[in-house]
Order: sequence, then C-alpha cells, then structure tokens
Amino acid sequence: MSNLRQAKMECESGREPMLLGVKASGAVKGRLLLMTLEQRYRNASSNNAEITYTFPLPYGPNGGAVLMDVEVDIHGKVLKGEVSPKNTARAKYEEAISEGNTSILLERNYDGSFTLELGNLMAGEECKIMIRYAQTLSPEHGQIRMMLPTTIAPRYGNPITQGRLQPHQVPVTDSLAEYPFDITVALLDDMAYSNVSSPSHKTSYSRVGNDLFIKLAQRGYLDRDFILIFSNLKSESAALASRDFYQNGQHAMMASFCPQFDVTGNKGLNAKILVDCSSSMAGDSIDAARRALAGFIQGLTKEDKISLSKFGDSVEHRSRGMWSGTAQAKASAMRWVEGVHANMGGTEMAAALVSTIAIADTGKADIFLVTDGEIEGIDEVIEVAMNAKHRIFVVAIGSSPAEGHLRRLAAETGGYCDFVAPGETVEPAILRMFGRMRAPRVRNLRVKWPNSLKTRWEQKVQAYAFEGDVLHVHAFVDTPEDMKELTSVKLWGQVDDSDNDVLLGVAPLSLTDSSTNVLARMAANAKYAEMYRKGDKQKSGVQMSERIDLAITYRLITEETNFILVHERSDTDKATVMPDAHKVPQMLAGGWGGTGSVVRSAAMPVLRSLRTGSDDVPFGVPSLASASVLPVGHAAASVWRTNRTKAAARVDALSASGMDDFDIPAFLRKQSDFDDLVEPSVNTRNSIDKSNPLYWKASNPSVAKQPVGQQGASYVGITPAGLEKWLSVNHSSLWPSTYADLRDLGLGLSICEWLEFEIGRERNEQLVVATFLSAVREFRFKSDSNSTRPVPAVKGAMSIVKVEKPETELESEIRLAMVGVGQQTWPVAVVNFPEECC
Amino acid sequence: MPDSQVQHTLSELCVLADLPVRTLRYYVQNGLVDRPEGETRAARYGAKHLEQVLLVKKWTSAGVSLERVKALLHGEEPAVPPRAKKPGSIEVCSHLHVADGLEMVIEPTRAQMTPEQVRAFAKGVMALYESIKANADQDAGAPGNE
Repeated sequence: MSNLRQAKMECESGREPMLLGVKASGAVKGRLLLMTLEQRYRNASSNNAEITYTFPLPYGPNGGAVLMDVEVDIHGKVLKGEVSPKNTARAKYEEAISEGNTSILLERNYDGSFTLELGNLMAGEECKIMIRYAQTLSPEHGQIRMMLPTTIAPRYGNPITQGRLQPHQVPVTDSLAEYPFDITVALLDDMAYSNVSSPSHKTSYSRVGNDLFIKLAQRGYLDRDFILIFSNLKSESAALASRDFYQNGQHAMMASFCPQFDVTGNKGLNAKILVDCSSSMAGDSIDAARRALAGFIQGLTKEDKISLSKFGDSVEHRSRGMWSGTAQAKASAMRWVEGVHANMGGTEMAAALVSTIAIADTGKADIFLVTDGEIEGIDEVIEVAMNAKHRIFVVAIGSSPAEGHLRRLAAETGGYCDFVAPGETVEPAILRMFGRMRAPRVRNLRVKWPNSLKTRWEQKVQAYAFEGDVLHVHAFVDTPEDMKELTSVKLWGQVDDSDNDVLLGVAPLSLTDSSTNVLARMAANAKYAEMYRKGDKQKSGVQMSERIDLAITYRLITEETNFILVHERSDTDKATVMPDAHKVPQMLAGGWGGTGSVVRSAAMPVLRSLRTGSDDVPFGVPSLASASVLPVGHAAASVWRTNRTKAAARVDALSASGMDDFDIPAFLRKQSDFDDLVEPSVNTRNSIDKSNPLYWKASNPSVAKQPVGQQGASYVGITPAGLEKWLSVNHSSLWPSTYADLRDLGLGLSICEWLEFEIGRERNEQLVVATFLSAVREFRFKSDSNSTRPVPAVKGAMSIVKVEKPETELESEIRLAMVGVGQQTWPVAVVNFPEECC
Repeated sequence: MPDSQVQHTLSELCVLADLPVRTLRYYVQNGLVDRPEGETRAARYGAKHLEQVLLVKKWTSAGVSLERVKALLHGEEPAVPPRAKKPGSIEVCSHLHVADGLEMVIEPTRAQMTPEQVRAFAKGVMALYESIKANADQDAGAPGNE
C-alpha cells in the first residue's frame, strides 16, 4: 500500500505468533477507571527470542492512562520490576540479555505509544505480562466515552524522521495477524446504575449485588477500539482529596469541573471545513465522514459562514471564500459532500491546513476537521495551526483513530476532539461540536482552593474550556488539620471580550483513600508532565534530575523513565547466543482502507469511479447487471448516472485531441455566418471545437496556483458563445434537459448550481433548463464582436423564441441574471455562485 | 585509522556511530549490518561494520525505508519484485470494477495513457468480459454437454 512507508519484517506470517492474546479487566468507581491488561506471550520458535511489541494506551495527559504497575509471570512466578531512568534501564536490559538472562523493558515512545521488549524468552517458554493503569473519565455533555485502543493503524509518513521513533519501536501491520481480545469491566457504586452501551462490541451485562459487570458477547480481536458510552450523567463538579503515601504530611487533590455559565451566545460560525480523503479513509471511515459533513452542513444557519476543502496528497477547495449558510449554499455544499471519496492518495495534513487557513475570512475562524488522524508528523501540523490562531475542532473517525495526535491537535489550538466509531450515529457528536464552536470563548481560567488549604504545587489550568466538558486540575497540598473545614474548590474565568470574572464551577470536596496511592500518583504524573514540557525548552540538568526523581518516587513510566525487570536464570538455563528478533505485527484495524466493514450492514460500494482527468465528473462504469455499451442517445440504464449516458455517446464522437469532425457538407462549412442556417439533423450529434478559446475556457494551471481567496473568476468550461454555438448545430431533441446534462456538456459547476439551487428552487427542472437554453440561444453573438445581432429565425428546430409572447417570471429572472454576459464570460455574480448571488 | 584489526564492542560502536545501542542491535538482527565476530559479550565489530552502520544511518535519516536500505546494501533481490519507482514516491490509482472479484488497477501516468485511451480500454475490458461470460453461458446451455 502506498502509504505504508516503514520497514516490514520478513516471514512473520506463516510462523506461529509470539503474542497469544490480550485479556483486559477493569473497574470503574466514580470517575476513576482502573484497568489491567494481561498480555500472553509464547516463544513458538526453536531459538531464544527477543519479542518486541508496540501497543497503544488511552492518550494522556488529562484523561489519559497513567501506568501504575507492571508485573511479569514467568514459570508461574510473579515478578515485580522497578522504574529507572531510561539510560540505566536500557543498560540493565542489554547487560541482562548479553549475559543470557531474561529481561523485560517497557518504554513510553515519543508519540505516546508503548514498546515492550521481552528479551531471551527461551524456546517453548511462556510469559504473561500484566500492565495496570488508571484513568480519569471525563464527562462531555452528560456522557462519558471510555475507550481502550487495541491496535495501531498504518500511518502516512516516515515513522523515524517524522514520527521520531526508533526502528525497533516502529509498528508494522500484518493483514493476516489475528490476536484474541477479551475484556470485563465492573461498574461499582453509582456507576452501576448509569446508562451504558458499547458501539464497538456486542456486550452482555450481569448484576452481582450492587455492581454491574460488562463482558463481551462476541469473540473479540485486537483490531479496533473497545468503547463504552455512559450516558445520562449529571453534569456536576466534584473534588477528591487523598493522603499521599509517598510523602509525609501531604495530600493529593483532584478537582473536576463541569463549567456552566449564564452567558449564552449563539454566534455565527466561521468554519472552514476540511475533510481527509486519503486512501486510509476508504470504506467505513469515508462513509462516516460524509455523514458527519452532511450533519454539519444541515445544522448551519444564515448567520454561519463556511468553506469546503478536502485533501490527500494535495488540497482542493470548493470555494475561494466563505459561503453564508443560505439554502442555496447548503444545497451546493451537500452536492460537494456526495463527491467526497477516499481517492486523494496520502495524508499531507500540514500543507492542507496551511492552504485552508489562507482562505479569506473575517479574522476569527475555526477549522472543522474530519479525519482518522493516521499521520506521523503531527508536530508540524500543530505548529501551523497554533501560528494561525485558528481553533481546530476535530471529528475523529475510524475503528482505531490516532487518538493522541488528534487530542493534542485540538487541545493545543483551543479546539476540541470528538470521536465517532463505526456503527455510532454521528449526529450527537456534530451537535456537541456546534455547541462548542458557537459557544462563548472562555479564557483566563483560575482555580481557587479553599482558604484553609496550603498548596505545595498546583497544576496550571488549561487555557480554554467549553461548557459541559469536564476539565481536571491536580494539586499537592499540606495535609489539612481539620478535614471538616474543606468546603469546595472554585473555578473562575472570563468570557469572550469581557474582563469580568465569572464563576464557572463549584466542586464540593470529599475525602477518599486508596491502598495503591492512585490519586497521588496521578497528581505526580500531571506535575511531571508540566515539568517536562517546561524543561524541554530550558534543558537544565537540575530540573531534569528533579523530574526523574519525582517519576521514580511515584513509580511513573514517563518520557524519561522506563520499567525494567531482570530475571536471573540458573547457569544451565542461560542463553548462550543473542536472541532472534521477533516484532509482533499489529492487526489491521477493522474497516481500515476499505478492508472489510466493521458494521455488518454497511455494504462495500460496488460501483467505483474511474477518474478520467479531463473533467470533474467521475466516469461510472456499469457492473454486470446493466447493458453493455449503449448506443447513442439510448435511454440510460438505472445503474448509469444520467449525466454519463451522453458522455458515452461523446466518447464515440470525440477524437483524442478534442478536434471534432463536422458532419456537414463542405459547401456549407465556408463561413460561420451560414452555420445558423444549417438545419441540424436529428440523428447527428455535433460538437464544438474545444481548442477554440471563444467556445471553451480551458483550465489554467497558473491560475490554480493563486492563493485561495483572491478575487477573479477562474471559470473552466464552455463559454456563452460556445454554448450558443453548440445549440445552433445540434437538433433540439439532443439538447440537455437536466442540470446533470448541462454539467456533462461542460457548463461550469457554479452556473449549473446557480440554475439548480437559485433559479430552480421549487421549479420544474426541465422547464428551467429549457428556458435557460432558449435564453442562451438569444445571445446571438457575432463571431468577431461582443455584441449580439439579429439573425433570421431558424426554421423548425428551435421552438423557443416567439417575440410576441409575454415573458414569464422564470424567463425574466434568467434574462436579468444574464445581463452583462460576454462571448467568453458569464456574468460575474453567476460564476461566483453561491458566494455573491444570495 | 582504517585498521581492520581494530575491533569494537557493541557499546563502542554505538559511540562511534552516535546511535542508540538498541537501534544498532536492530540493524544487526535484521540483516542491515553484518553479524559480529563472536557472540554476546565477546562480540566484536570492525571497520566494515562501522561503514555499514554509517550508511544505514545516512539513508534512514534521508527517509529511505529500512527494507530498501537492506536491498541497497546487499544488492540482493528484495522479497517484493523491484519496481521502477523512487523511494518515497506516491501513487494514486484508479480501480475499475469489472465484476465481483475482478478488478483492474490503473495508474494512467505510468501506463502512459490519455483519459480517452483509459476510457476506451475500460470499455474494451468490459466488452471482453461480457463476451467471455456469454460464451460460457452458451457452452453451459448447449444440449449434449456433460
């Protein structure tokens, strides 16, 4: 596949897999999830093996997984390791391997994935590795989306130069790989009574006492995210405090706010729509993308402004500026959505963003991005977006979207990222997005802790907040003397341009305890992350050792610390040679790139388009069910699109270069003056000379390179003179009768859409087309001047103009719009439809 | 000094090449760099190995895939038959769906076909398929067949 640009291990398939499967078991209490993943390995080869497995975890920092523990079960013995600085851990691992011992190293990679290295698993040996993590669940608009990723989908780009991975960490995909996956989740206390469902897997529910247990009701594999949706939750703020077991006299705090404020704003949107049409989106994802776009467009009002763009290797903009959300523009946009396919090649997101940002706007614009996010170079993209001060709102789709990348992209630009899995309805996510995009912007967020608390460290609050989306803030405080004095934690901020402080949330405090010190470790993780981000820019040695000490004290696997375990083997048991390398390949994400569909009912499209490159309209090739080659002018079989019936006829009529033969006796070809007197034959379909700029405006590559947003029509297609000429040399029975026919004839997209959505609103299509053509026929250009001149009426074929008949409303509307038409130029307002017309 | 007698341990080679030890070991495990002399702690690498490592490093930082690097280094046939494409080039192909289970992949630029030719080709393929199917039906339906 063209977007898999990474090293592939040879001959993995055909050998027995080293990873036997993954079993997950989790418990949800309040807003905290504790999950254990049990990975089972077996060395099925005849030599000692070094197994590497790169796997994803829910993304951090706020709302992502915080690794708590790693345990290794080998030979029935359960071993615990330790957290060490990366260099030390790596050295220990290498030494252990070269001495013939077994060693396990778990490392956090640059992109947030994790790589496990299991060195010197002997032939036939088995090993179980238990990885435990904690995660705060964040309600969004009354709903929690709990997600466990199980595979890493192929990404576009270079994993080493752009993804900043080391070669052994780079995930590889094998479409034949298959690993079983099983999961059980226990919901405790009040969570056991929430509404819960899974859009990704068939699940079964059983109640044991007060608790609810969720199990898989189907065989699962490591090929898609496992998703649980908890809905109908109350939007409330709450704060937890708990003793820190690793530090005397210290308590850890976590305040979770659900901001609410009175200021309502239903401001108009300024949304630049950008949809990913790379090949990884083929299948389920592009279907979901179209539904998301359709939902978005339908929700627009007249006060909203949008632009439409799609990208792959390059970016294509439908509009040069922003359209208002009028009925006509929406109809045109819906038409554009139908043409969105996963056929644009790779995923050059940064370049597409640059170009989309350049679309002229009034100043404050947002980008509405629909994608699966499977790229390596996300840093570049984030930088571009932040510099442009555009907020990015992402709808992430697919069975395994790049969660970390997309959440970061949204968060760092002040936007938001919402997810839609295959089989989920898209509308709720779109509605939430609208809410956020229209909402007042909240800034200068500040947390006010109870007066009696002395904070030792508090997390810097995120820069932006949205109503209904929970945000978390961690802190370390002196152990309070009087617990009863603790009341609540408050969140203050400013809204839009006002400098008034507004109270956004009040979180009542409650005490909690944990034998594994979970809350304190999560707070330490947040503190580490902050220190790391700051330190990255300063690179001070003192700060680094402070950070690392923190990570080691709280046993956190971070960007600078690894988990290491060495298992000394008895002398007779040690390996004598270096182990063979085995990289565990990823399963292909279900529905990725069109490989099968995640939802059983979604059928794969049967009719694929063949892009011809000569015009915008795809060439639909009939499947077996239809008749084969159709004769000229024959009625279209249902599987053909009507606009292509005539095209088939044109295929016969047109020669390769576009020059056409006129089936007219030589003596009549002398002067153009006489062309009008020729009575076109019913059976002959004639064409115009497309190489003549009077009749046809070809696409101009230098114009296409102009920055988007510049004025100036870049019309491509048949000119007024050309259309008039065509009508004069063809019998009226061959004239186009539908908008699609007109398009097929080469009439520019904007003219056709102007006819269809502006003139044609609540009018009969054929009447509109016929009236338009008769108006064109009236142009009567002289071939060497721009003015029109009277010409003797042509007998018979043209049944339109009878000067004495009073003009209908339709006729006058068209005629008025055509004022100012030139031989080679359509009226500006029509060419710019729907930007200026409405 | 390019002295073939000089032997380096794995850690020394890392320092010389300025690469993490794991990456070096990865190259050796995957055949990008020849195996050392000796095993485990006694493994020694010479000038030849250093040369290979530096070449691999140069190519991967230029964006060449490891698969391709391996082929370049050893002049061996990669498992996939070599194509006349530059490493890192992108192609967009069209898929002509002829029937269930029958598809043609067309990259018109490489095939050097104009859009009109592609259309003609598509029509021809469809017609060919119809005629083969029609003949098959005829044969099946003819009386006296087994």
